[in-house]
Amino acid sequence: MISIYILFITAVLVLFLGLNKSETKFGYFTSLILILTTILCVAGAKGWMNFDKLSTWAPQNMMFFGPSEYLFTALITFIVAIVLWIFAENKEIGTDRIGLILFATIGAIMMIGYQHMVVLFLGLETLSIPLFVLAGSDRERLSSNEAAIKYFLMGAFSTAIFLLGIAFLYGGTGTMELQAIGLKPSFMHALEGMATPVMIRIGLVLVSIGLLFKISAAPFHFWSPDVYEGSPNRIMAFMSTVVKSAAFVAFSKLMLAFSGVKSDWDYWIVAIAILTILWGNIAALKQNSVKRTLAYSSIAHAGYLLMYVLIATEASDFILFVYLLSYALSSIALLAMAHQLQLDTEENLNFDVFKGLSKKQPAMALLLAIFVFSTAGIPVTAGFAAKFYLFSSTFASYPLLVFVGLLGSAISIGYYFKFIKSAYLETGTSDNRIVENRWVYWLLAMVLVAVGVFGAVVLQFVGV
Amino acid sequence: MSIIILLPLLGFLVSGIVGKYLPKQVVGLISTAAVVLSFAFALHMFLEKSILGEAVSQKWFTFLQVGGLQIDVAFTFDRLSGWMTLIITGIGSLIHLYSMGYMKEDEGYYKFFAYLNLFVFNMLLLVLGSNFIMLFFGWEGVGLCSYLLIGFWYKNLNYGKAARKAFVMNRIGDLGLLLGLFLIFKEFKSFDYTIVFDQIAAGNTPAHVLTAIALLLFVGAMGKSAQIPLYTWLPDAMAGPTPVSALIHAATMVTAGVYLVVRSQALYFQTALASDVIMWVGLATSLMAALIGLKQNDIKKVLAYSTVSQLGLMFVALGCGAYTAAMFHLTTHAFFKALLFLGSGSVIHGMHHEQDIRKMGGLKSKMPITYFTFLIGTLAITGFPFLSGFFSKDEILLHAFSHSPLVWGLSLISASITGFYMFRMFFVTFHGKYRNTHYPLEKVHESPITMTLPLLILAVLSVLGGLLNLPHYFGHNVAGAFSSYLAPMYKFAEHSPEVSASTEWLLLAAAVSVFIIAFVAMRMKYISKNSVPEEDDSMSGLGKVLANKFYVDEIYDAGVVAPIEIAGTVTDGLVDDIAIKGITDSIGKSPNWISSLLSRVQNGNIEYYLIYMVIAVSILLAINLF
Amino acid sequence: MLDLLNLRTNMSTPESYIPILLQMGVAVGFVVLTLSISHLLGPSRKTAKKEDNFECGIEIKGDARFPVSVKYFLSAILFVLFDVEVIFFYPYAVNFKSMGWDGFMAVLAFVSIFLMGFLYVWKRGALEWEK
Repeated sequence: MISIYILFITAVLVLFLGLNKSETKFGYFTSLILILTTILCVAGAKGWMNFDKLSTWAPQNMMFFGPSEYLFTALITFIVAIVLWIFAENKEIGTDRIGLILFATIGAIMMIGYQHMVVLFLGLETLSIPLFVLAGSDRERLSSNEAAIKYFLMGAFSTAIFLLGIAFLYGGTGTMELQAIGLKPSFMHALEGMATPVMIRIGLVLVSIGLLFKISAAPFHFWSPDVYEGSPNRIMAFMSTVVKSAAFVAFSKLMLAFSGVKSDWDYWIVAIAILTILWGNIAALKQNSVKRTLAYSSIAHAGYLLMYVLIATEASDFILFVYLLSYALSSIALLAMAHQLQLDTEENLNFDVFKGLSKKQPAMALLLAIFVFSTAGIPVTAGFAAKFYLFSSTFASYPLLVFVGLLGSAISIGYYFKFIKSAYLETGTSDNRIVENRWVYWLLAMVLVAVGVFGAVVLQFVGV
Repeated sequence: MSIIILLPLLGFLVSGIVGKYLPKQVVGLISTAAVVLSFAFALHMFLEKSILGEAVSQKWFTFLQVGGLQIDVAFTFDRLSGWMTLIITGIGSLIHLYSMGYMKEDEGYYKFFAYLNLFVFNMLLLVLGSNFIMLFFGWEGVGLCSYLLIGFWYKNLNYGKAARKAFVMNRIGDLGLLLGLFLIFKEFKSFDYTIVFDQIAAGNTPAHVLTAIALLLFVGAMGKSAQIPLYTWLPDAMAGPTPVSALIHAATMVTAGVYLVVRSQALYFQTALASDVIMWVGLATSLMAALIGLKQNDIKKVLAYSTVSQLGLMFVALGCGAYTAAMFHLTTHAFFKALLFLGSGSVIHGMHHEQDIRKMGGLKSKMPITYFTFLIGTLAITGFPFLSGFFSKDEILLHAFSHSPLVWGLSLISASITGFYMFRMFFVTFHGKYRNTHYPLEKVHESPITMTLPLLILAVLSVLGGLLNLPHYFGHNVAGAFSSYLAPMYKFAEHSPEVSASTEWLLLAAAVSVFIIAFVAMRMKYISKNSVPEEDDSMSGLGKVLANKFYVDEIYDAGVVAPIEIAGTVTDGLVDDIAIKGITDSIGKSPNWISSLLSRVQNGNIEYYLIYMVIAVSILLAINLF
Repeated sequence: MLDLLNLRTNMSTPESYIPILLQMGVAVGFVVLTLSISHLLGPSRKTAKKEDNFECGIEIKGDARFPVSVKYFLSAILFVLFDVEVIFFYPYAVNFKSMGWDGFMAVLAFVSIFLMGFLYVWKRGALEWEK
C-alpha cells in the first residue's frame, strides 16, 4: 500500500510542479523517489519496517501486501526507476508523461496486491489507460499514433472479454474474492470428485485471455510487435517489462487459486505456451528492426514464463522473481542502448546502430554482450539462472514443454546473435553516439552477473 | 587448487581490461605466465596428490539452491581431471608461448591473449568441476571462446560465418546435453558426480532411462567433439588463427566429449546400446573424415579432417569399453596434433599466410626445425613403431579386435588412410620443388625461437608419449602405467582384451604393414614421381598408364591410391556436400521459412488481428464447453 | 466449508440464464416481426420525395465528415469525465445514512482527487478556448 500512496503523491506533485517545464529534471527526481520506494518495499518484505497501519485506510479484503507482494512491488518500482533514469534526457515540455507512467505503475502494483477481482480489473485498467495515451505520446510521428489506436482498440476488446470472464466467475461461484472463487471448485473436486462447472471454466478462460493479451501470449500477441515498434522507446521499455511483470504476477496468483483443479485448465495453458514459444522465437528470426526483434523476444519469454503459471506454488515465488528481474533488466538495457546509439530519429531502429561498437566503445560492447547473453539464457548470467530454475522445476510434470522451451532457446540464438554480430563482426560506417549514463549499464550488468554467478547467495539475501 | 583455476581468469582480466594500454610483449608475458604458473601448480598438485591416489575437493560457494536441489561451485582434482588439467595447462602454456611469436604483428594482440586465457579458464571449469552444472558452464564457456577465436579475424565475412556455424552446431549439441542433464536431475535429484554415479552404479535405475541419458549426453559430445552429423563446423573452424586451431580444435576443447564419456563411465558401462551407438558413430566419422582428408589441399583442412578422424577413433575406443585407451589416445593426440598444427602454423608464418600445399614444396631446406618436428609429428600420428601414436592407436585396435574383428578391420582402414593423407601432405609440403610463383623461396624463413621451442618440446613429447602406457610385452614393470593410474577412477573395472599373444603380434604386424604401404605409396607418388595434387588426374588417366614408364607406380595409383582417392572424392562431394550439408541446411533454414510465413500473418491490419483473436477465443471456449 | 458447499444450491448455473435468453429472443423477435409485417402489409409507392431523408431547417451543405477542432473533443471528454463523477453521487445519496462517516470520507477523497484533476486541467490550459 505504501508504494501506492507514495507514487500517487509523487505523481500529483510532479504534475503540478512541472507545468510547462522541461521534463528532464523531473525524470531524475521521480527516479530517485522510485528508488526510495523500492528500498521501503524491500524493507517491508524483509520485515524491517511495518506499514500495516497504512493499509487500514483501504477497504478490507481487497488488497494484501505480504513479503512476496512487497518484493514484486520493489521489482516494479526498480524497473520504472531505471527506465525513467536511462531515458530521462528529453526535450519535451510538460511532465504529463511522467505522471502517466506513475499512474500506470500504480495500476501495476494494484495488480500485484489484488485479493478481489474488482481490484484486479481496476489495476488492469489503471495500467492500460495511461498506456494507450503514452503509446501515442509522440504526436508528430504517424507510427506512434497508429500504435496508440491499435493498442486502444485491441486493449478495449480484451478488456471486454476479461470483464465478461469476471462476470462468469461471479455467476459460477457467487463471489469475487480470489481465495473463495478458487476454493469452491477445488472443494467440489476434492470431496466429490466433480469436474469444474462449465461456467467457472468459461469464466477462467475469459479472464485468462484478458491477461494473456497483456502478456502477449500467442495467439493474442498480434498487437505487441506493431505497438512496441510504433511507441516511443521509453514506453516500449515500460510496456514490455512492467506490464508483463504485473500481468504475470496477477495471472499466477489467479491460477494458483485454482491449483486444486489444475487438470481442468493446464492443458490449454501448455498449448498456448508451446505456441507462444515457437511463434515468438521463429517470427523473430526474420526481423531487421531491433524493436520488433525485442518484441518477439518478449513474446518468447512470455511463453517460457507460462511454465511458471503451471508450476506455481506458495513457495516458488522466487523463480518468477528471478526470471522477471533478469528479463526486465536485460531487455531494458538492450533497448536503451540501441536508443542512445541511434542518432536522431526514432524511426527504423535497426541493427546497424550497433555496428562497430566493439571498436569505438569496447566497454559498451562488452556490456551489450552480457545483456544479450542474459536475455538468451547463456550461463553465468541471471538469464541462465532464471531459465534453469524454471525449466528444471517444470521438467518433472511437463517434460514436453521444457523440450519445446529448450528448442526455442536454441532457435533464439539465431536472432540474439545479430546484436553480437553487428557489434563485434561488422565495422561501423555510421558514427554512433556516445552512450550516456554508463554507470547505470554497469550496474545492470553487475546485477545480472551477480545473480548469475551467486544466485543462491543473492536470493538468500533478498529472502525470497 | 583455486589458484590453478583463478590464474587464467586473472590473466584474462588483466589482458582484457588493461592489455590495450600495455606493450605487446608485456601482455603476452602476463598471459603466458598465468598459464605456465597454473601448469606449475597443477603439476605440483599432481605429484603431491593424484599420483598417490588422493583426490582434492574444494567448494567455493553454493551457486543455486532450489528445494532439494543444491548446486555448488565446487571442484575436484582427481586422477582423471588432474590429468586433463595437466594437458590443458601444459599444452596451453606451449601454445601461449608460440602465439607470442605467431601473433606478433596482429593488431588484436591483447584481445587474442585475453580470449586464450578465458578459454583455458573455461576448459578448467569443465574438467575440474565436480558436478554436471560446472561441466555445463565450462562447456558453454569454451564454446563461446571458440566462437570468438574462430571469428577473430572478423573483417573476413566468411570467417564470421564459420564462427557462427560452429556456435550454432554446438548449440544443437548443447540442447542434447541439457536435456540429458534434466533427465539426470529428474532421476537422481542431484547433479553431483559422486551422488549420480553412485546411484547409477547401485543399479536401481531402469535401463531405458540410463540409455536415454547416455544418448542425450552423447549428443552433446557429438557437437563438441565433431562427430557425424555435427562435424562440419570443425574444418570451417580453421578460419581462426593457427594457435587456436592447435589448442582448441585439436588438443583440448574437442576432446571434451571424450572426457564427458570417460567421466560417466559408470553410465556408459551399463548401457550397451548407447555404447554401440558411440562406437558406430565414431567409426563412421573416422572413416569418412579420413577419406575426405585425402582430397584436401589446404594444410590446415587436412589436419582438421585428421582431427575429426582421430576423435572418431577415440569414440570407437569408448564404444568398445576401452576408456583408458581413449584417454591414452587423447593424450598422445594432444601432443602430436598440437605439434602438427603448430608446425603448419610455422609453415604458414614462414610462407606469409599461404595455406595451399600445392603452392609449397621443398621447404625442407629453408625450415629445418619445422621440417624435423613436423616429420616426427607425422610419424607419430601415422603409427611409426615406438612413437606415441603407435602405442595408443594399437591399443585401440586391440580393443576393437577383441570387440569384433569387423570393427577392427574398419578402424585399421581408417588408420591406414591416416598414413596416406599425412604423408601426402608432408611430402608435397616439404619435398619436391618449390612451386609458389608469388612468393620467392628466398623470402621463406624459419620461425623465431618462441615458435620453434614449443615445436621441439612437443616433438619430444610425441616421441616419448607412448611410454605412458606401454603394452604388456614390454614387461610388467614398465607396462600399463597409465592404465593402473586411471583404473581407480572407474566404477566398473575395464575389460582387458582377451587376445592370444600370437594374434596380438599379427595385429601389430598388420598395423605396421599398413603404415609401410602408406609411406611407400606416397613416397613414390610425390617424391619419386614428383607429382603435385592438382596435376594428378587418375580417373581419366588410364591411357597414360601404359605409356608411362613408372609402371609400378601406376599400379599403385590405380590399385590402391585411386580407389581410395575416388572414394575420398565421392565422400567429400556426395555425402558431405549433398547429404550432410543438404539435410542440416534445410533443417536450419526451415525456421527462416516459417518465419516469413508468420510475418505475413502479422500484416499490420487490426481487423485481421481481431479476427485471429476471436478465432482463438472461440477455440478455447469450445475446448472448455465440450 | 459447510457454508461453502451450501452455496452451491443457490449458485447460478447456465440453466438460470434461460429466462434472460428467452427475453432476448422475445425482444429481437418483436422487432423483426413488426418490421417485416409492416414491410409486407404496407403499400409501397416510391416517389423521389419519399426516398429523401427526413429533414427540416436549413438546406444541407457539404459533408458531415469534416475535421473538427480538437478543442471540441477535449471539452467533450472533460465534460463526460465530470459527468461520470456526478453519476456516482446518486448511489451515494441513496446510501448516505447507512454509509456514515466512512462513506463520507471516501466520497470526500474521491471528489478531492477529481478536484485536483480539474485544477490540473485548468492550469495546463485545456480550458482556454483561444490562445
